[in-house]
Amino acid sequence: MTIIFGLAAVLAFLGAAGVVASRRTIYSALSLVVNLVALAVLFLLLDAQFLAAVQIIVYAGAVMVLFVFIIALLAPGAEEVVRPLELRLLVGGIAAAGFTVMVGRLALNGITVNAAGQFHGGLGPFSPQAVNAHGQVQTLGEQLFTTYLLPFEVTSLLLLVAAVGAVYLSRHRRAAP
Amino acid sequence: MNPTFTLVLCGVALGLPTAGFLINALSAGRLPHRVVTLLGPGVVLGAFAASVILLVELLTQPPSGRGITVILWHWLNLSVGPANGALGRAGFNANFSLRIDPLSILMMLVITGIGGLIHVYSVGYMAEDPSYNRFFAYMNLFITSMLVLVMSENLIFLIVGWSMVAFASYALIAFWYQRPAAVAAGRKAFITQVIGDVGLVLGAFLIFLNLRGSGGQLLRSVDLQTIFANVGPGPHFHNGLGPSGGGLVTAIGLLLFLGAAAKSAQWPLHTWLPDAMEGPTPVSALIHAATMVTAGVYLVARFHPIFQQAPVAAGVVAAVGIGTALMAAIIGCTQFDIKRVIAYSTMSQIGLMIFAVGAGAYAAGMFQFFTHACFKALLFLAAGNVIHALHDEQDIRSMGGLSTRMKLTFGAFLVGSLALAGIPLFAGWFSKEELLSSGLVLGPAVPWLWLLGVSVNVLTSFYIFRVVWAVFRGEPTSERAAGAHEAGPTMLAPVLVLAVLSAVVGFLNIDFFGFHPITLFSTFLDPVVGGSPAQSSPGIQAVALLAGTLLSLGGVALAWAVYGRRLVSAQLISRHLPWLYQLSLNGFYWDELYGTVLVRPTGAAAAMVRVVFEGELFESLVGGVRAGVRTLADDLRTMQTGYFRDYALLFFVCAVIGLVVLGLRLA
Amino acid sequence: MTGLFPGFLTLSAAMFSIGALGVMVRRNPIVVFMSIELMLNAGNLVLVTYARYTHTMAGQVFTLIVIAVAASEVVVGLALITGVYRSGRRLDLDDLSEMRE
Repeated sequence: MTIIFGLAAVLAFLGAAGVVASRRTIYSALSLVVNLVALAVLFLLLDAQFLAAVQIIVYAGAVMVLFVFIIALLAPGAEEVVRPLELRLLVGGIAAAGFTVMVGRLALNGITVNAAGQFHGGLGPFSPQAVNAHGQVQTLGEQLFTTYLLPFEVTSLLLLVAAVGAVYLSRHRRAAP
Repeated sequence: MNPTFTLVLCGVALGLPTAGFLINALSAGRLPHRVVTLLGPGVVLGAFAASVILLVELLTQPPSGRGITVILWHWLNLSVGPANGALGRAGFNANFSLRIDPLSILMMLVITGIGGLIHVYSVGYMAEDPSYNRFFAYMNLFITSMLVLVMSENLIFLIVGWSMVAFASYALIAFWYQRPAAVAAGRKAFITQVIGDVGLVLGAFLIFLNLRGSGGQLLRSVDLQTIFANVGPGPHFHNGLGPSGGGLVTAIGLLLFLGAAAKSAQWPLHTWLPDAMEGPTPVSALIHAATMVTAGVYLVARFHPIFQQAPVAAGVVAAVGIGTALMAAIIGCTQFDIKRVIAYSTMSQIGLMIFAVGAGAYAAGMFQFFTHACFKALLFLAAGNVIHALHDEQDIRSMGGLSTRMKLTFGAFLVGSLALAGIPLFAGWFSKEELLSSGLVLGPAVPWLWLLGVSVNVLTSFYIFRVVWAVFRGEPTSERAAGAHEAGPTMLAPVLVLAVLSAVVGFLNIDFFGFHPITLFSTFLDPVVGGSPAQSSPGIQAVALLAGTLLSLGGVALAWAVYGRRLVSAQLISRHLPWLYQLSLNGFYWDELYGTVLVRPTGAAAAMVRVVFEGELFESLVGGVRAGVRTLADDLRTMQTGYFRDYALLFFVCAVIGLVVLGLRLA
Repeated sequence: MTGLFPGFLTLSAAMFSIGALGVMVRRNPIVVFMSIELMLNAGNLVLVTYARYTHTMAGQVFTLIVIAVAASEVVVGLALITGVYRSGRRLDLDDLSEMRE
């Protein structure tokens, strides 16, 4: 398990670095796909099988495809030179490293979850065993349609808005005189 | 005495000249000529009337009750600080309180009376001057300042009046400010007086900080009556300022005298008086005859309890007084400017007064002040008549023969000269002989002081009659003198009034050499200044009286011999004792000494400071700050690039910093 | 697996900060968008991690919703970028910045 985690983590990290550091846009997109797949593996490790599937299908399968299409349409060979020792990069890099280290430290010190993996405020009812016994999809679906109904409905509204907006924004305009 | 009535009268006496000044000054010179003519002298004469009524009111009291303090307004009454047993309340009190007693009434009468006559005179003298309004504004201010000085019951307001007088004198001496000489003279007078102010203020501070009550507690009082009750003779007398003759009292006396010396033009602060003749003649009459220069005499007389406790300081006062008197009399013998002669004469006569009050003969000194005010103002105004008639000619070598052309002025000037010289039955004789008799008593076995005084008198008679002969007798030595005619009524009337006064005022007090049939004046002043010093034996006194009078007449005769009949050559001294002549002609070179030792180094230091400090140091400091701010601003401006991603970076970095800080505290 | 909790969180933090770096450093708007996606995914990882370790379902539900929101956002954003491209401007954020004088 740890080994799988390690591999998946390294892949995710490399993919993330690739997104930012690639010179060509298409390479960034492909790196992001690698990242997303690694993330799906991590979800599997965390007993969220349904979400791993959703991640692959929706994110890597639909969103990234869209990205690739747009890149191919607009800027297929676009290159961008990032000056390596730019001040922004330096300062940002230091901040990034600091942030990561800090979070790691906090996580290690057992803020919400202690070393034995126990939640300080007591555990909820949805242990992996219980969920697996009842069924992943069923449990998620029940929660989604009962306790979290409102966010669900709002999200569907949001999707409608996004679709309408996208259609509107990308309609053909008359050339300006 | 009815306090309310007194308060009202004091308010009138102080308020009228103040109102005159304010109305005149705030109207920015736009008042019509006639209004100023009525307003300027009018307010002073009104103040004189109030003073006379106050005198009458004072006289209705028995001698022991002649003294009242009225509070014109309550100013500072602080009730913080340690509780003060003797005063019965804690804290610091300073009100604008005025003291009406014989000494202050005397000063008020002279200031407003003779001042009023001089104001009337000025109407004629300054009639064609374009700054007529400004003149009367400043004159009224001067009267106000002097009244504040002499009426104050309070150290603080005394100092206020003192400084106001200094400023008013500067404004009047430098009245014709387009003339550089006048401006320089005004500045010199003011700076010299500021030096004296330092002494006065330091003395006041020492009194305030050290005066102790009968229980040994610090009184922290600025009230004059309280101070004198705890220092001077009286029912509650004790050594409030340390042992008699001790260092503290002596220091206070000397510091106070420094202030008095500056005002009264005594050595070493005397150099401003001759230069002050740059001002108009009425100004010379007011400031240098009647009022400002006598402020020093008043100060010593008023503070006599302190001087009585400090014999060393009083001795210094007397010595400086008689020394200045002699020096000024010598200088006056060789001057050619008529106003300068009279100026040195003032310095000399004030020296005699200072000597008297330093020696403890307060009544004698104040009587001399009174008579001197009359005849010195007379002399200045009569000289003004002459100058005006000769179209601003002031050199006596260009005059002559005016006795036939200006008969009344000649008569008045003659009366003044007789009074000044101390000729019997004129005012000066009585006051000077009284002075000299004190000198006779207070001197050691050989009467040095009396001899010095008599020498001064001889020289005085000589120099003033030299002027009389040069100006009025003989033949005119210039065209202007030949064409002179008598002065107008506004200029003649005050002169004549003063002449009458100079003739009769002496009879108010006949008290010398054991002969005192009339002592109105000295008994009037008794409640304030105490009795006269003891007298010596009648035989010596008679001899001294006779000798003194004869010697004064001898001085007149000498002047007549040299300048009237030309029996003795006028160049006698200058040929046989040239060094003496040069010393006298150049004022003993004090001006030159001060110039080299004080003025020039100060000027050089000021120039150096201007170049080095202001020019280089401050410029580089300020310039450096300016450049530094500039650089900082330029550096900071680079942060505003306009790219949103830079701003996003800023957000991110600050958020991370916040998280790190929080995280370090949590874990 | 209990010992991997810090690892998940650290990885998530690293992905997030790399995504933030991408937003700040890159000029191509499409790459910036992808960096934003990276940041959202990091958040998703944290949500799922906590859902697993605290035995609740809320994390997984919200991850689902985040995926949906991210998808709609990408759609609209890319439509905008297309519009910019079609109006002839260059796809460079510094060029497109209107805050600069």
